[in-house]
Amino acid sequence: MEQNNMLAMILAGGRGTRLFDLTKKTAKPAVYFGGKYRIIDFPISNCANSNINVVGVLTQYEPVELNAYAGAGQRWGLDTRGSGVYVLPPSEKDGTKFDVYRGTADAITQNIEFIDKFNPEYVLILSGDHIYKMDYDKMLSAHKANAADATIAVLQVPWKEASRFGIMEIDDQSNIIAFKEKPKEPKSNLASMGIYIFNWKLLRKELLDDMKREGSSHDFGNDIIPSLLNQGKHLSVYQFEGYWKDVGTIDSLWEANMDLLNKNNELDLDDPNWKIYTSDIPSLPHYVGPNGKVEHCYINQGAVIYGTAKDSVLFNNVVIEEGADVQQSVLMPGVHVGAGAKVYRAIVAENVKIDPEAVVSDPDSKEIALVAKRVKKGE
Amino acid sequence: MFNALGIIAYNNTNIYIEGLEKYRPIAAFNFIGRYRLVDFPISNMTNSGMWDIDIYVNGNPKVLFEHIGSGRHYNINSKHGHLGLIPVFPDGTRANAVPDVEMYYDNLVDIENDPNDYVIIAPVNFIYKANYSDLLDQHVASGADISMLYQRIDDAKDKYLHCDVLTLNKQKGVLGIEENLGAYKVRNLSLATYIMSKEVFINLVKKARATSSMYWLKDIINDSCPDMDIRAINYRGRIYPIYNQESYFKSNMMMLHEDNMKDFSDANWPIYTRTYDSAPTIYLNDGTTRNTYVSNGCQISGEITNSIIGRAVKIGKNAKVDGCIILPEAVVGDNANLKNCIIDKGARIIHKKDLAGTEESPLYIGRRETV
Repeated sequence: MEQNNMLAMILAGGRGTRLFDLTKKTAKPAVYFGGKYRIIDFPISNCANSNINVVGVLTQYEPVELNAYAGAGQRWGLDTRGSGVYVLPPSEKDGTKFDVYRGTADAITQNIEFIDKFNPEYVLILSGDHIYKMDYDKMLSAHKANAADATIAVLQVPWKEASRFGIMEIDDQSNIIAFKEKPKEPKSNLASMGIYIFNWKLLRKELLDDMKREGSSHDFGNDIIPSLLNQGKHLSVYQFEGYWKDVGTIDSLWEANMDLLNKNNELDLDDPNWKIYTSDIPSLPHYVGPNGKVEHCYINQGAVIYGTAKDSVLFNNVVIEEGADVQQSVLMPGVHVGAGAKVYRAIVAENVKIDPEAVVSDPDSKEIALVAKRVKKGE
Repeated sequence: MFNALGIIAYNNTNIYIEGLEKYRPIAAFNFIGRYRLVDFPISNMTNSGMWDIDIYVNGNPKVLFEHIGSGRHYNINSKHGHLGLIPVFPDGTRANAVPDVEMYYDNLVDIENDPNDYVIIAPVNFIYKANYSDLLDQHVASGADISMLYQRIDDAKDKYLHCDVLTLNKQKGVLGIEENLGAYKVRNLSLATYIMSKEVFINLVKKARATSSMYWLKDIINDSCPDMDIRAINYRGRIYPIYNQESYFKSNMMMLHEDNMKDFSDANWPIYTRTYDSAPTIYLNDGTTRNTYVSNGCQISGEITNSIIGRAVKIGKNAKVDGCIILPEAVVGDNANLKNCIIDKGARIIHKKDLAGTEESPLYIGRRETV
C-alpha cells in the first residue's frame, strides 16, 4: 500500500451482452482492443501510472480467462512489495449464502474485509468497460482540495445525448446538488463516468447501511450516491477532458479501433509517459510480403501481410494471404484471411479463419459485421 | 530437468564490428528490429529446459542490465533458476582483450558450486536454432570429452575471416582449432559452441590459467586435441553469422527470405525479448512497406522496401528507404532517400537527403548522429 494511500477496485463483472459472440465465452473487460490490448489494460495501466499499487478486480461473468489475465500483476508492474492485482470473484463467506454480486455496491460490500486489510484512506471505484487514459492521482488531489466525502468523475456530453447518461447537477463550486439517472429533461450535460473516489470510512459505513436497506438494488448510481446526497454529504465532481469511449457495442468497439488510425487521435497510445501495459506475445516484428500492400493501418508485431490491408487494425499473428483484401476492419489475434478472400467493415474474432475466396460484407455496408466463426467460400 | 549450466560467451579480439561495436557489446546488437543478439542463445537455452545461465559480456554492459533484468521474460523461473550477467572489469586493458578463461577463473567458485553436471557454452555472434537437450544427449551417448558444433562452408576464402575453423579427422574428431585467414575455400566453421562435463570445463580453465594469461578457452582446447576425445557435431540448420559489418547487414537481410522466417516464428520455439510496451505501428498518409519487417511503435509516412525497421522509428513523407536496417528510435526525415544503409539507434537523417551504400559495404550512420 502507501504511495497515495488509495486502493482501486475495478468492477469487471459485466457480461457485455451487446458485444454478442465476443463476450459469449469471456467477460467484456477481457475483450481485445487496439491491436494488442484488452479493455481492462486501460484501467489497470491507469492505476499503475497513477501511483496506485493495490488493485482489486471484481469478476463474475465467465471469469476464467479474465482471472488468469488480471492475476499476473507483473504485466502492469504491480508486483513489487506491497502492491498487487487481486482477482476477487464472489465467494461464500461465513454466515452468508451469497455466491453472486447483486450489484456494483454489493461487489464492494462483499470485499470489505479485503479492503480493510490494506487500511486505505481512499477507495477508487472504476469500471472495466471503458477506453481512456486518466491520472487518478490528480482526481485524488482535487478530492482532497475540495475536502469532499466523495468525488465523481464527469465528462461533458452533447446535450442531445445527455438523457442516455447519469447526469450531475452542480453548483458553481463543483459540488453536486442532484444526480439523475437518464433524465428525460436533463438540466446539465455532465455525465458520470462511473469513476468514484470515496473516503473509505464513510463508504464502508454507507455500504453496511445499504445492506440492510429494503428494496435497495445495491448499486452505486441508484442507491449509494442518492443516499449520500440525502444525508447532505459533500459530493464533488471532477471534470475529465480527453478521449473516453464506452466500447459496449460492436459499432462503438469498431469506431474506437478506427479512431487509432488517426495519428492525432486524443488517445495517443504512443505517449512514453503514459504507456498502456499488456501481455507481450513473443513474435517477430510484423512483416509485409513482396506483393503486400498496407495503407493507413495500425499493425501489431507478429502480423504477416501478403495481400492488401487498408484502414484496418491488425492484432498479433494475423495472417492476410496473397490476393486477399481487408478494408475498414479489425482482425483480432490469430485471424487467418485466406488467399483472395475479401473482408470489409468487420470485426473478426480471435483465431477465426476466413477461407480462400470467401467474402465478408461489402465496402458500402452501413452495418459492421461481427465474424465469430469460420467463413467458407460462397457463404 | 535439464542438467547443464549455460554459459554465453563473448568474442575474442579477432572479431570487431566497425560502427556498432563502438557503442555496445556484440551481445547487445539489435537483430531483426526488435531483438538483441543475446536473446537468441538465451531463448535456445530456456526452450531447451535450461534454468541456469550466465552471460559473460565485454564492453559497456549498461543496456544489457536493463534488457535482461531478472530474466523472467525469458521464461526463467527467477527463484528456482538464474540468469546472471557478468561484465568484464578490465584493469587498464581493452575489455575484449581479457580472455574468457580469466573470467571463468574469477567465477570458478560459483561454477564449482553450481548443481549442474554439464556446461554448454554458446556465442552471441552465431545465431542459430538448436535444441541443447538433444545435443547434450548426443554428447553423453558419444562418450566424448568435448562436443563442438560446426558447419562446412565453401566460401571461407573471402568470408568468415578471423572466425575459428576446425581441422577434423575422418571420424569427425577435432585435430585442431585455428583462425580462418582466408587461405582455403572449403573449411569447417566452428560455431563456438561447446558441450562438456563441468569437471572437464573446470580442469581446462585451471590448465589454461597455468599455461598462459593470454589463453582463451579455444586455445586450451586446441592444445588438448591430442590427448582428449573432442568431437565435432555437424549443425545442419541455417546460421546467421555476425563477424563484421557486412555479415551483420546480410544476416539481418537473410530474414527477408520466406524460408528463413520460420526459423524464428515457431510458436513452440519462441524467441524471448524485453518488451518496451510500445503501441502498434501506424501507417499514415502514403506510408507503405514491401518485403519489410517493422517493429512496434513506428510512424510510417514514406515508402519502405526490403528493409528491417526497429522499434519507434519515424519515416517521413515521401521518404524512400530500400535495403536498409534502421535501428530503434531513428528518424528518417521527409523526402530522404536511403539505400543499403545501417542507421544506428536514435540517428536523425534530416539535412542530407541522399545516402547510399552497397550490400557489401553498407553506409553506416552512428548512434544519435544527425545527418
